Amino acid sequence: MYMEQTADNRMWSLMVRYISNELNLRETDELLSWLGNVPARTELLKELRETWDKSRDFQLPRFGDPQIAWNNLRNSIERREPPARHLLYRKYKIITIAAVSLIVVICVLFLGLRYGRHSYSIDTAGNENVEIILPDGSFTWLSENASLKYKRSFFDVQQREILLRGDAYFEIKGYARRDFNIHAGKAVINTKGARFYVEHGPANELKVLVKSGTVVLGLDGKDRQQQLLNALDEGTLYQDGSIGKMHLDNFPDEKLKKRQ
Amino acid sequence: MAVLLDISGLEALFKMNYESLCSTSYRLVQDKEIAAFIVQDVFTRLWKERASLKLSDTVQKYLYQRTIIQSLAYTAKLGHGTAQVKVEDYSHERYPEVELLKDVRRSVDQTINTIPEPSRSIYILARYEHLKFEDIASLLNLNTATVEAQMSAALLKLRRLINK
Repeated sequence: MYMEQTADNRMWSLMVRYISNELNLRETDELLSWLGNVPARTELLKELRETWDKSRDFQLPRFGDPQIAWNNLRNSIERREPPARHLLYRKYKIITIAAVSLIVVICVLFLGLRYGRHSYSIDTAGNENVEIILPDGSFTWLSENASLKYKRSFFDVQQREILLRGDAYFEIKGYARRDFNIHAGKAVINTKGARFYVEHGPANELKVLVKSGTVVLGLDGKDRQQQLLNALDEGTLYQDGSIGKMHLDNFPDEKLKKRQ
Repeated sequence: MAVLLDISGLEALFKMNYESLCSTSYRLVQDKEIAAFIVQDVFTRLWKERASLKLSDTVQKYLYQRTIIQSLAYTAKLGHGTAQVKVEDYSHERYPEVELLKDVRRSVDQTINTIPEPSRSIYILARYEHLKFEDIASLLNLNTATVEAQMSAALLKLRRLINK
């Protein structure tokens, strides 16, 4: 009796795992051999599968405009800023802030006129990887000893531009079909939306491995050469300015594991 | 892995994931306002802890995990709501099939909500969040065999009710 119950539990476990798509090959064989030629068992499994399929659509309400929800969240985040402790403190604080702001504005105007850009810059140390969420919702995983820089006006301009030093993995979101350009040394990597890994080889060559989407690898400059890379293509920009391309059987996911 | 997030990054992340995180939470808590509140809380927490946060996976996975954990904690404490979804909550442009399948779907939702806990949560996490039994077990502090047994119980009950 106990043996029967244990065997029964095992088969239920296999059926449930089959329906949830968690069976391995050995378990699949075990389930198939149990089903054998017994129509009742096959019928039971079929019914369970149908039940799973029928429960596909779980009715959901509308959750309102994400912009309004975001405004609420932003207000709540800003409200959490600690208030000034007392009036005197606040008075001096306001004067200090005004003075500092004035100096900052003058510096920004001066630097802005001189360099015409203000940028964010992120550097990683020798043993750290950093995940960065860019203002357009694109993701970057910056490897150790790398840096990334982008302008504050990143989101407002027609072309999204960043400067990269070192290795990084990118998941670039399509955004109103705007170009996304990565400047890495003398290379420029252009896409409208793709997943790819950028790494530097031992001879200082730059490699771009495309996981999905389309990427153009080229030389920065007027008469630049370009190489179109699709999913599973690996493009290499050599020191002499030539660009090679090869096709991979699989994307080397182990490179992404390094980022964790 | 550390996370570098400024307010514009948080905004992009929020807008991209808001609706689907609310859906994830709603399936568990069955209350639209509570689901939206939980999602806001998850993002507030991310913002507050961003400097010290070390992730073993992506930020998106972190958001889904936190939403599920907070929704499960809510249902464990207060139970899930029995809110009936109002017809006016639906936009026909977004859900053109709703009119045709409304009755069938409503019966599926209501049926799932009659399954006792923890079978209900386990079924929802496996069916709609595509979580592996191991992950569900770790979220609910159960062992994998218990999760499988609860899943069998949920499927059996649904089979009786949906196919009757």
